[in-house]
Amino acid sequence: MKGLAHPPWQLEAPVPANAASVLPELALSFFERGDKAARADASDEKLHAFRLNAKEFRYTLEAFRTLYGPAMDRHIANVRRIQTVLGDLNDCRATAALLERYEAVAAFDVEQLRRFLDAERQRHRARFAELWAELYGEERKRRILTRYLRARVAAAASAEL
Amino acid sequence: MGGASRSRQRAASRLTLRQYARETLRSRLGRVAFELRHTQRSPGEERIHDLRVAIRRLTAALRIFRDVLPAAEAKQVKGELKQLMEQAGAVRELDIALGLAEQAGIAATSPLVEVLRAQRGESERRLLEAARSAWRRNASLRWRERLQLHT
Repeated sequence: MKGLAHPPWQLEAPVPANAASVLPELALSFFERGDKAARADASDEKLHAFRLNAKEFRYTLEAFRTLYGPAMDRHIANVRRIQTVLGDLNDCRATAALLERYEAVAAFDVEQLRRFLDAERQRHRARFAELWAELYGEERKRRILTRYLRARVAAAASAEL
Repeated sequence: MGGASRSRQRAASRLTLRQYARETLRSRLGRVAFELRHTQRSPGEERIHDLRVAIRRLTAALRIFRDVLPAAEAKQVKGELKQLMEQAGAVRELDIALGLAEQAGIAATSPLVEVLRAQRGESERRLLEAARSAWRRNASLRWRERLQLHT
């Protein structure tokens, strides 16, 4: 998986300065990959790769959660919503792959489940595109997140001084 | 924000990234140790889920903060965590398949569900063995030492 792009960490610099410089860039990279994954012609593999990017983004936000205010929980929850729908899509893919092992012992059930998984896959793909548009479709919404990641932590650090 | 959160925020703001990373890693490693202990004592779907989450969070922190860790040792620890995660993942995969089969209207007595259930039992047994073995070998303490997080 190609990880999200971000500037290097400054190990001896204070945590707020690191978070303010790295997290907004990580968000921009997340938006860029998400836009590609939300295209109607995106392959399941691309969606799977973006699921891992979303996971990486969420875990990084969570790792710095302590530095931010309560609004950070809402931002993390939004990324988790994206991750959940992509996770559901991935579950359908993984289960379809698993079924190949059981074709011989339960052909009828396998066929029934396959049809169900196909329909579910389409539903999750559509749901992802809708959710992406709802949460990050507008530039204004993206700016709210990047500004928050940059400014909120700076405010917390300066309040400390 | 509550008083406790604010004081944690203030304390974290004073740290360098290196110090913060080490604290985060120590705390996540502690969580894995806790979940390992509980999973091998009383396994169950929820416990396995919690173990997976704890390992995933530690693995994520190892990745995010890789610059502060000794590279070869971190790779070794990640390898051991990956093995445990694969065992837990196999159980989860089967839980999901069983859930989807139910949603698809496949009877609980059908041959597919029976074979999935049997496979799940076997995967859980393997996971428990791996968790017990990690616990017996004092894995979390070894990881802490390897990653030089003990001080």
